[in-house]
Amino acid sequence: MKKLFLLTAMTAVVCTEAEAQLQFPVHITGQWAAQTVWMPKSPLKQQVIFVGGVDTVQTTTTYGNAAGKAPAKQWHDYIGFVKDSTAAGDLGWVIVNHEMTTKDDKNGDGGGMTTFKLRKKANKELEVVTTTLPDGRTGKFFNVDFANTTGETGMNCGGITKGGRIWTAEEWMQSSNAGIYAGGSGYRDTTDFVIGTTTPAGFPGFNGKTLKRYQNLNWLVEIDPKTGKALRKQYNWGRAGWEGGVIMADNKTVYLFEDGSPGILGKFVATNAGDFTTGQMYVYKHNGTPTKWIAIENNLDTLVNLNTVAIRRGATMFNRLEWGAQHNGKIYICETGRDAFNYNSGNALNGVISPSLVDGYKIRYQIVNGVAFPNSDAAAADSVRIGKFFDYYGRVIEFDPATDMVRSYIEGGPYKSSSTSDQLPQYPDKHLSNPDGVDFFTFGSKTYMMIQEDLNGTSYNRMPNGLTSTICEAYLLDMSISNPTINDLQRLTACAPGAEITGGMQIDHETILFNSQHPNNNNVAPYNNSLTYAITGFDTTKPTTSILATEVKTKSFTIYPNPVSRELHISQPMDVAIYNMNGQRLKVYRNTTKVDVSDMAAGTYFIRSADGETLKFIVE
Amino acid sequence: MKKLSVLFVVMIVIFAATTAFDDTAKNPVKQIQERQKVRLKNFISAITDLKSTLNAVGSDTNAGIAMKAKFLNARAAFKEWEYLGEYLDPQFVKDNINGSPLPKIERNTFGATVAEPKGMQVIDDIIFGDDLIGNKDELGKQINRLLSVLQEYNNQQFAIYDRTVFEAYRMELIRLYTLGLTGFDVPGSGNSVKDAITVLEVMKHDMLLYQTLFEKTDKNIAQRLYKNHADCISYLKSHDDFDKLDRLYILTQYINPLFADMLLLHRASGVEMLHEVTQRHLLPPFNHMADNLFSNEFLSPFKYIGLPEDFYTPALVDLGKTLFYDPVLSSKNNRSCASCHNPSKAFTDGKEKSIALDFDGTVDRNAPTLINCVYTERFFHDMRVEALEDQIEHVLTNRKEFDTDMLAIISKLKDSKEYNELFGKAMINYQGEKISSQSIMFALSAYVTSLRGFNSVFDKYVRGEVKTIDPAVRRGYNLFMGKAVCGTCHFAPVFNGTVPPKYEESESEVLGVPENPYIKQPILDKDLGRAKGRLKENVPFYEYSFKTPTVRNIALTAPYMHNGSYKTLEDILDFYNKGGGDGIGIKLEHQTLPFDSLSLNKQEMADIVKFMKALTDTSGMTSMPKSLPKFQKQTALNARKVGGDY
Repeated sequence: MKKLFLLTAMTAVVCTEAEAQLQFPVHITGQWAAQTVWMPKSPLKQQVIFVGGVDTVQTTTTYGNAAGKAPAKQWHDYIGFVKDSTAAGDLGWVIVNHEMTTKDDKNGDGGGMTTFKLRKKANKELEVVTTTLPDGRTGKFFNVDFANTTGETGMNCGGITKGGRIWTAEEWMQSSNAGIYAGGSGYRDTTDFVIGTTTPAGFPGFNGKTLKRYQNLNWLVEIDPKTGKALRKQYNWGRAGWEGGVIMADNKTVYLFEDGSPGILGKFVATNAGDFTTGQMYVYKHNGTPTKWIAIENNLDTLVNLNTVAIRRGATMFNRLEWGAQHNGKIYICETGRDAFNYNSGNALNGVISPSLVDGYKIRYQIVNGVAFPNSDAAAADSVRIGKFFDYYGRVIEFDPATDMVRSYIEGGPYKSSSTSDQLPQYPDKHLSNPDGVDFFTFGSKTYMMIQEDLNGTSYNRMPNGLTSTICEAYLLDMSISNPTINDLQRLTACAPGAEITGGMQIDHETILFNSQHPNNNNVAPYNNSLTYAITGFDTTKPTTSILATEVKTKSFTIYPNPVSRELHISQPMDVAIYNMNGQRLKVYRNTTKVDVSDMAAGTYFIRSADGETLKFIVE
Repeated sequence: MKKLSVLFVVMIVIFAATTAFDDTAKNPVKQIQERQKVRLKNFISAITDLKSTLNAVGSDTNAGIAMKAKFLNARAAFKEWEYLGEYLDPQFVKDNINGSPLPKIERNTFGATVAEPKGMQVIDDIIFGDDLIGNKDELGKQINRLLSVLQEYNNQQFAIYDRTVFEAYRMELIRLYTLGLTGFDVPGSGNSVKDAITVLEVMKHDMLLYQTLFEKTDKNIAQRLYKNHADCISYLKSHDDFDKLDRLYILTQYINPLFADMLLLHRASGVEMLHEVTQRHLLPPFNHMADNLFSNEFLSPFKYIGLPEDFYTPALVDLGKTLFYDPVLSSKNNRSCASCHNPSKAFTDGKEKSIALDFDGTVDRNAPTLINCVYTERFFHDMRVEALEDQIEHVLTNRKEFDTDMLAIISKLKDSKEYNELFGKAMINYQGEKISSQSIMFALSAYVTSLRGFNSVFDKYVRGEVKTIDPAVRRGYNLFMGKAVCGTCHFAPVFNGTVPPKYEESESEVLGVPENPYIKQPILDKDLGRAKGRLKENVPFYEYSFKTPTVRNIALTAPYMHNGSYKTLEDILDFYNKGGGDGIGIKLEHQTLPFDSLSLNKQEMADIVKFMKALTDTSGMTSMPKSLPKFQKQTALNARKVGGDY
């Protein structure tokens, strides 16, 4: 019976070949499966911690409104973390950036941050602690007060956590008071801002100086998570579209990354360790001699227009730097890319093209043409400058402070050329587009880079099948691999559709917090709001491979249950269909090596190959 | 077992040998994949050709003729590539090739980065405009840019499956009917009908590769499809006058039958369908299982709102309806949603601008209809929020509307035993607090989402449920979708600004609406619209820009425009006929409505009004709750009226 069936199926393949691709039957009957594959529940658990717009925050007296409570702001981005084990089980203070600008009577206009204390219960569940701040506010979540301290903030994206201190980056460059007022829907206060007139926001050397209100945005701002107040805007680090930064082990050297096109790389060196109010600011120029750092004078007029000044003086121009993190003394920064750009007009003519973009251009050239780029790096840089590089995937770059050299570490993609393709190409199993967040986690003896995507679009194969809804993923990359490629990435998690996955911050040896930012509004609640969630159950005493894959061999094709991302992996690219218990066809995959079962209810299913072999598998 | 494998191998070898000699035995998708590569190459050479022609243009005033011819060649090449090219990478096409010739804000960047208009429509506008020589530099830049982006794109690889071809075919029927034949993408050349013929020819060519499969699947339907497809081409060839085309005939005779038959054949053939290869939450609002462009199931409302489909139960809709008519939602417990959204006026209030709280003046804008309002990417006239749920919160907190907040409403509602029960029932599967801001928003959103329907006389005629239609309505529709170009902003079938064929994005327009059109020299209404809706959209080209509303139920929703300044449909038609603001002395650099007069005569304008009045359908949507839930402690509230005092 079975023999006959297989024969028929094969004949069908041959006959239908001329009229269409193989069609999987819409219904099947009987159960041919000899062996069952289990898709066990992941040892990793997901727990929602903080939902924007739904959870309420405690507010301070603001704009004449009494202290009280208000729905939390949305657009969760950076997560900062400061350990605090005052009470048993306490993990510490978590702070979440809100990358938005909105009028808000109670939380203050613009963006902002929310701070809260997290503890772990005996059953390992996380819990937000009810606590009282020094200013008397009691509750679980607290709005960080900027309006009454440093002046309003906005578009709080990345940040820096170092030695119990936290800075937030105000990314979005604004150029006029009318712009920030936005006809009454933006910042209500457009009066000049005088530095040092509010407590505790003074800044040595700049007290008494006046800024236009819009100029009091786009700085790094230090905040105190334990009091829920902003401390000071870091005027001496310059005003730019800062997205993130790192502070080195010496507690003196700060590197800052600008989300601009062109965007710059900044460095600040403090005179005394831990005191960042005095020191010297620089911007990077990779071909500078004798030094690769352009010194920036500590003058407010210069600092206010840092990007313009830096590029006028010949700084290295990147293509949208995002977050960075350090590992073994080197710094890894996401250069997220931009579909089309050129640095061939205006002030950009003064700057120099980053070696990371030259690397990206040359790598692309080699894939398309099958031969290495034949000309000099200067020629490649010229091509980038005039707009010949369509940088829709971006990359992670490596900066080595020892040599002051920068290079592309891993290019987004894979970029596949049509000239080298099969007739029916396969959508890549792993596809990295527009890396945005980066951090390092250690599991056992191994350190992994965690890269988080924020897709700039769905075109150019960033999403398969012409889909215009985005899914952003977080990948792990084993840092012991030299010259890594996309194939070395391991998928850790994907967040809610439409959302940017961001914030990834390790809280303890078994917990990582993430933010799901600006998801599609039609996701199932609470995933329709920006939210902070924890993935728990990691065992960082072991390498992640023990979590990420267990192979099960069956029949002629091999299946790898992958409990982490809930994908069934198949040993070689093939056409398969998934059926439910009633024999009804649910899904069809062409030329694939994986089947996403994450949206399938727990139960028994069949997977059927093109030649009619059917296996049973169970989703728990 | 072993024998069998050998047999298998042998058959494969034989088959492989056969294909090598006989091209027609090739799998259709493999042929289409190759054809599609050739189509892109042809498109690139046509643009290259256009570029060299431009380079040869001196100050010769006759140069326009050669450029026009070359451009139309390039257009044909583009249209041959379009149906699969668009399906496989719609965002690429919109960003680079066939986006509207207007500035936009670059997606997902730092700040408000302006993306200047580019692509085929800009080129079309310049070549067929009145100053080719004067715009030569800009034209050269545009052509170079298009060429370089296409050459680069030529390196990308895409997979095409049988499914892709069938779905792209149906998607293209929507595109060519709603965008192509209305003149949407040919601002200068007006090449619509020829474009449609090109597209249909190329689709026929590809679809013939499936004749064997389709005839085996269902011979009658297959033959009907091929016949209708061929007839549609012949019809367009013999009726190529843009202004006179009977678009209603084309819809009912060809487009809808082809749209339905291709679905039937796809389903019956056993070839997998979109929902089998795509997770549910990633499907577009356009429902690929719908069989008619005017069916009630054509768009899925759940793609536009925060409320998950699984939560949309009669109990939740009923709760939402109760809340909608309950004045307890406002700070003084005397006005409800229905105060400005009156069911007897298709959920508008008949006022220029709605009355503000405490009868203290008015709110800022005209109350829009709620019927079918769900089908939009963004809410409010200024498009400031993305979800219906967020829209609700803005009304609650607005000083001139409800002047309260969620926390206050929640604490009031919790006092009512009845409300606790209603929320408990409606939110039975919800994990969180039963009475919460989330559940209030979900309930109201469920009710507003229930206010939808395509069951007007016109819809019924299109679907064949009624057999005749007033000839004036037919003429009006044909004008609306053709000569009067209404359909290039009010897209079928919702006739609002949500853009086909996937209906994922909504548009706004700068019209130059006056404060008061009934005075001698009207002046511009001061409302900045979209530019002050969102901080990130605070750019000059969104000043005075407003969301394109639906024209469904327009007979019931006077007065019109965001400020309610127009009293009648005839006056509105007159405004558009003159070229919008520009035609009445209001000059706006960024007016998106074409400046030129539409040259409509009185009869034509009356016909368009007739058509719009045939779009009335409020059936099953206008009933009000008989009573409202009682409160236990706040007993004073129990005297409140259904719908409030105003």
